[in-house]
Formats: sequence, structure tokens, C-alpha cells
Amino acid sequence: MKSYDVIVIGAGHNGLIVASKLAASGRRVLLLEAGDTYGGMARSEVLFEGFQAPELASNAGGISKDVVQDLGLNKYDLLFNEDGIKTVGLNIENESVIFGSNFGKSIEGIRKEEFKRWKELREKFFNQSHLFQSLASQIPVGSNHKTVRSKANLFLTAAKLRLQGKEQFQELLRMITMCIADLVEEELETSSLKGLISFDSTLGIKLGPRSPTSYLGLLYKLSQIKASYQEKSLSINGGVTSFINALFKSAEENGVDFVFKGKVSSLIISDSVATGVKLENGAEYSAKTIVSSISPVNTFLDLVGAQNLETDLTRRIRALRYSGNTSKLNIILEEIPKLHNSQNLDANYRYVYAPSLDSVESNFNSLKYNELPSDPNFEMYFSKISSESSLNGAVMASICIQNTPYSLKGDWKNSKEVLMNKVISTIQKWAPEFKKGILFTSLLLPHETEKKYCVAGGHWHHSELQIDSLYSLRPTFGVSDYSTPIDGLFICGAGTHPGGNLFGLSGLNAAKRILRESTK
Amino acid sequence: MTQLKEKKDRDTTFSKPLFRSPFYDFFAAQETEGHWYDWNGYKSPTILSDEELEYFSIRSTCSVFDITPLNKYRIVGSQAEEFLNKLTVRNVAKQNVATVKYTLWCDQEGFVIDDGTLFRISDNDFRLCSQEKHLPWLIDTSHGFDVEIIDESKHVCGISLQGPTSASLLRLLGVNGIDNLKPFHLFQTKISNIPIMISRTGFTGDLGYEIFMKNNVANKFIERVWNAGTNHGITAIGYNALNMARIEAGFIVANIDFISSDHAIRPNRCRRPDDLGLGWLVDLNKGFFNGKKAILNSKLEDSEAFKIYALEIDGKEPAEGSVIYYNKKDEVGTVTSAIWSPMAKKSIALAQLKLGSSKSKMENLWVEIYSLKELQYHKLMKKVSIVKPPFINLARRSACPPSNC
Repeated sequence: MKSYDVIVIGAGHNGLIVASKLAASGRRVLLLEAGDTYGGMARSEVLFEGFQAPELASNAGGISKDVVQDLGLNKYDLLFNEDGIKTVGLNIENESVIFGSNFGKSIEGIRKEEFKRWKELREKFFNQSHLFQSLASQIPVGSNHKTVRSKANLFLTAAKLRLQGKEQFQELLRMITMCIADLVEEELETSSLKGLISFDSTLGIKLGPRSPTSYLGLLYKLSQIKASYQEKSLSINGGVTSFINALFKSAEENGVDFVFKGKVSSLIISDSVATGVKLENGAEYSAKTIVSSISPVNTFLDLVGAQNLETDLTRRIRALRYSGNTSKLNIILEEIPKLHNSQNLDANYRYVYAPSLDSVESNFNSLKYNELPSDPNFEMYFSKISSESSLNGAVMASICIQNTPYSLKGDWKNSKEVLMNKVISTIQKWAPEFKKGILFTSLLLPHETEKKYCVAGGHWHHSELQIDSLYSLRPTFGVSDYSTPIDGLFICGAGTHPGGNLFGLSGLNAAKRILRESTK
Repeated sequence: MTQLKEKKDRDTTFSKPLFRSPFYDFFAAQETEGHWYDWNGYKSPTILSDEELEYFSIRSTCSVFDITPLNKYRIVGSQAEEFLNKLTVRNVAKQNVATVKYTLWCDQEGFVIDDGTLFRISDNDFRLCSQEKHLPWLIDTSHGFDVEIIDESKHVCGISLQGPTSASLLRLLGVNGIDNLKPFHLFQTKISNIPIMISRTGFTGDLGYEIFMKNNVANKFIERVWNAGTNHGITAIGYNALNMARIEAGFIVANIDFISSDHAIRPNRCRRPDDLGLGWLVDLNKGFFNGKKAILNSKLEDSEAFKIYALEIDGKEPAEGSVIYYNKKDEVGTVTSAIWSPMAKKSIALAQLKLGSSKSKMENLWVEIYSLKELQYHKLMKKVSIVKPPFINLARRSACPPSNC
């Protein structure tokens, strides 16, 4: 049996970060990946005629500045959008609102007084997001982790919030569990602006804008913008791939060994100590430290097995809400489609179809009852396909469809087509040439994501990012500090604090925790 | 039809409707006192005719007690043993087929959830009997094991025959093999063609048997036993008599002598097996089980917890509910169960005490008893000595074959 200091399971971005960082400390690290390439849910897949692109992660959000600095990623070619990404709130009847980068620093298409109110509201939102921002890079204080340093960090965070003044602090306490609908309706009147903010607060989370605590989704998003590398988003054209490639190169340079098509079937555990892993193909590797970047549900129930865990913990893990609620539609078009007013689409924009708050809420209502939304909301990015490809001049539209049920009432057989057509006909209304130019479509539903990417429920965040599963409750009480009841086993995936998108702090925090805890 | 049946099975004289065990009609016919209580949702007797006579039937003839209200879980499947090894603290791999073991199960903090008896009927077939209801816990624990948990509480009923003449009564009833049945062993047999499972177990510290059967044969069975037992002094008993016998035997009861961890609201009320004097049940050398890590860790620290002790108290007053003092002034705990023991001829008690690690405190313990005598309290301060349970030790309990009397 081949032996390493550390085995990392899953070559998603968090797995790559942990592997690279631990290898940099001189440990011999093996990274095991079930798929045939690295990147996890951000990996590139061949989509059409040899053309490769990330099938799932189109969301060109930011990446943590701590990750970039810690791993020295800026020496690789990370692609960012220098001017930020503007969002067009699609509105078929009226003129579309154009939401400036940095979450609406400027907005075109609304009245002056409205913008003034928005400016104040936005400032308040960003102020309050500081709570998440400062907690994100901390190892949560929990039952196993109560060091003086972690407690002091928590205290300082609370003190900083309080020092913003009594009024602001009270305002935070008033707002923090509110729904985003009440907050925007208190202040704003432009329907598509309210729709856009509601959409951004709830994308990827099983909440509607009128659900209590949906404001937290927005705070979470804003905290990531603030803590992103130079407050910039990854480029729409290849940004995600540049990040994943940089992580891979960094891991490779630090001496990480990779095994692809190496799906782990179980951990080797004796007397609550993990000593190695067993692969589906029969191979075995041993290591003193094993780090799982896959979903906590898969880690605990499949790899560790309920037999090796307290009933209290398996109860909590099984009670996690981890059914995905977003699907991904990829469309390859001959060329950038023209708008109905015969202007060209700007490929550097993000397009969101969420015409009103009510539309987002009624979409969520359908999800609640496992039905397809009648008028689905979505976000869309266009990326140009590079000239080296045979598809020269073509573009890919990456579309995230919000509120797609994991288990649909009835079956998916015909509904898949229905969902796809609904989205396409919405775009069609506003870009009449769209349908004509379609070369290729593929729709990946949550249960298909589950199977293809080996993630329980097919959830982007591995488990819901909601108030009862954040910080020391993420993924659940007792395992929130990246360690587990199995000695030698750590977790570092999106299911751990702070989780979320391509941010990468889960991996970095876990690596720091492991470095602090264990010797080689 | 179902409605009619419901009505017959339930008794509505209590604030909530209570179930009636299949033996209810039999016990109700023996009853002259009318003391009933709610045991696990069943209308059960506290006293049927005379508490003392009932107690003495346990110790000198043969008593009949209805154990139907116990929760009975059937655990069947190819991984039943592995599942039970995760659930309980004892090593089930070491439990032979056709035996019964007293056992405990704990939560992740190593705190005792409940105790019970585990019957190994065959390799992959077990019955777990417990005081409290645990179906959700059993089902949640079974995740990942090939095992089926069946709550047979409402389908299987049971009778406990306890006392020196119980073995001869069963012999008279034609139960072959009663002579070879060792304590904590079981076998399946028939009495007048009624299929039963009989085990040499009980809650009295005496010679005795527990017999389980299907509900539909209950009446026929009890009639047969009752008629055969006339010359053996057979007596139907209620809970009070049994309680006296179990205190003498030094057995503890969940939520009387300790608070089950899933009932406890205050965190310092939870108890580990060691605190209950049952540390010997825990097999730390077997594989993983619920609470193992916490129990191991607790052994490393100096325990400040309350522990259960068996006490003998000077004088004749039973000390139920009394406070125990060190040096007559510092409170160290409370009595959870106490009686005047007719067999030991002593005032005996089970108590939870916080004595810390110093042994010296044990020598200077006192109990403050408020004894009500003709409407006036007499406050007594009596010397307490810690003893090793049981308070009585009867040779007939384990004699094999049991004597013919």
C-alpha cells in the first residue's frame, strides 16, 4: 500500500487549495479525483465538437484575496474583468435596468431619486455584510475548537460591529433575519430593480424573497464581493478555467501527486482513526491525514459510514437540506444574437431575467411544491469561443435557471424539454434571432449534477447556505471546525464554513486548521 | 368495528385514555383496592389487594406481574449484531444465542439514554425490552445496517412469575427443561399448546421467569397458570410490591434513580455508565459504539458527577426523597428510592451523591428524614453507610436446577 502524509479527496477548487497548501508545507500529498480531470464542479467538459468549457460554473464571481495571496496565484494568468461586470435586468415591456458592477455602484435606467435611495440602501447592505466578511476567514468556534485565538476573533468581530454605533448595531439586529422583499419594498419602487436584488439574494438557496432570512443570502454575496481579490470578478471569458488551472499548477509545483478516475469507495478506519482510503478499483493508499473536499453527506454517510459515527451526528447529517435547486442550461450559438432594437448584445454583461419581486417569489412557490416555474427566472453569460476552435465566431450562453426542483412532481421525461423551451422563448422575446442561431443545447438538472459530479443532491453549496447552517453550524454542530470525530479525517468542501461559489476560503481555512493541529 | 375494539382496549377513567393489556381482565378480577397508575400508556396496578402480602408472595411463594407495558423491539437482519454493537455498550458478539443480557445505551456524550434487557433469540434475531420508548433512536441508529426494527410492544404481551415456587409451578405446567434453564437463559416452548418464550430473568433478585407470548393467547395462558398455581400460593401483584423487591435487589430504574439523557433538561443531570455503577457493562475493547469516545475521555478527567450508591440507614424509617449530608451540614445528594427492607431488616436506599474523589467523606454521611407521625413531623438525622449492592443475596436466584418447593 502506497503511503502519503496527506490524502485529499476530490480535486475541486477547495481540494486543490488544501492539497497545494499542505504540499507547500513539505508534506507528501496525494489528490484523488473521481472524474478524469481536476476542477470539480468548475471543471471543463467537452460540450460540442471538441469545444471545452466549464459545464456548471459560469458564475464569474470573485475569488478570495486570501487564497490568491496565500498560494501566490497572481503569478499564473488569472483572468479578471478589469472594469467589473454590469448586469442587465431584462425587462421585455419596459426599458431594462443596467446595474453597475460592484453590486450596483451605478445604475442606468432608474429615476434620480430612486438612485439616491438605492445608494443609501446599498451602503447599509455593504456595512452589514462586514459581519460575514470578518467571520469568513475564521475557523468557527465550536465544541471541539475553543482556542483563545478563535474566541478572541469572534469577540473582536462582535466588538467591531458594536463600534459602528448603537443605531447601526440595532439596525443590523433588526434586519439580519428579515426577508429581502420587505427591505427593498420599504425603499425602492422600480420593479425590475427589486426583482434583480431578490434574484441575487436567493440564487442557489431554497428561499424566496418573502421567506424570512432571505436577506442573509444577499449579505453573504456582498461579503464575498468585498473580500474578493482586488474586489474584482473572474472574467466571463475563461476566468473560471484560469482560476482552476492556476490552482492545479500551484498544486503541481508544490509536488502534489494526482490520481484521476480514482473514486474513493470508503475510508479505512480502525477504532475511530482514519488510516487510509480504498478506491473503487481496489487500490488502497494510506495516510495519517485525510481531507475530504466532497459533500459532508457523501463524506460521512458513504465514505466513513454510519457504522463509525454517533447516531447524533448521522441524524444531523441526514437532516441537512442538500437537494439542489438550480439547473444549468448551456447553449452554443452561431454568433452573438441581436436585440429587438437591433443593437448587439454586449458579451461582457450578465443578463438576469427576474422582472419583478413577485416573479421571483412565484418561481419559488413552484419549487416548494416540486413543480416547474411557469416563467422561470435565470441569469445568463455569453462567452466567445476562441478562434482556435472550429466553432470560430460562435458564442456560448451559460444560463443558470433558478428554482429547478430536485425531485419533480411527475417525471422529467418531457418536462426537461418544457423547461428549456420556456427559457429560450423568454430570451427570444427580447432577442428575436436567438432561436435561429442555436447549434447545441444541454440542460443539466440537479439530480443529473448529483450523478455526474458525485455530489449528494447536486447542490452547488453541498448543503443550503441558510441561517441554521452557517459558521459553527456548518455543515452541522460538532463538525464545524473542519475536524471530524474520526481522528485524522478533516473536511474542507463547500459544505463547511464559509462555503459558497468559487471563493475558496473553506479550503484555505481547513488547511490552516490542519497545519496548526497536526505534525507531519 | 375498529372503533369498538379501540373502546375495549382503552380505559378512559384517567385524564388520557389508557390502553388495557391483554391481561387486564385477569388483574382487574383480582383487584380489591383500586390503585391503578399509568405505566407507559397502560392502566397498570400499583396495589391489587394488599401491598405486603403481594411483596411476600415474591419472596415466599409465587407472584404474577404484568410486564406487557414494557417497550419491546424486535431487531432482525443480517447485521443485527453489528447494529446492536453500535447501539449498546456491551459486546453483543459475546452474547450467545438463547441468552439475555442487561445492557445500556448512550448518546454521543456517553450519557445513558436508558437501560434494558436484550434477548438473543437466534443469531440474527433479537428482542430489546426497555422502560422508555426509543423507536426513533433505534431507527436512526440503524441507518447503514442491514437490519429491521419492529416495534412489537402492542403485539406481544408478557408475564413475570417471580418467587421460590415459580419453578415448580412451571414444572407442574409441563414445561420441560425448566431444570436446565440457567439464569439469563431463554428457550421457546409451549404450555397447553400455547407457544411462549420463557427466560430466567426478573426484576426481583429472586428465582423467577419472564414469559412472552402473542396477545391472542394471553387469556388462555393466564387462566392455565392461575388454576395450576393454587397450591403454589400464586398471587397477582402490583408495582409497589415489585418496587420493594427491586430496591432490595439493588436495581435502578430510569427516570427514578437517574434521569435518562433524552429527558434531562439541565445538563448536569445526565449520567455516564460509571456514575450508575454500571461501568462494568461497557466494553471499551469492542469496535465503535455510541458514546465510546466520551466515555473514554471521561475516564481521563476527575469526575465531579453525581454517582449512584447503595445505602444502609440506621433506624427503621424509610428515607424516601431525603437529603444526604456530609458531616450533618454539607448537602451531598438525595435519596432516589428507599424502603424498610423486610428481608434485610434494615432501612435501605439508593441515592445519588456527589462525593468527589476523596474517600474520607464516605465515613461521615447523614440523612435527614422527616418522619410523619400522627400529623407531626419528627426530624431525624440518621447515620448512613455505603454498602455494595444487592442488599439481599438469595442462593435460589441462581441455583440450577432450582429446588422443588
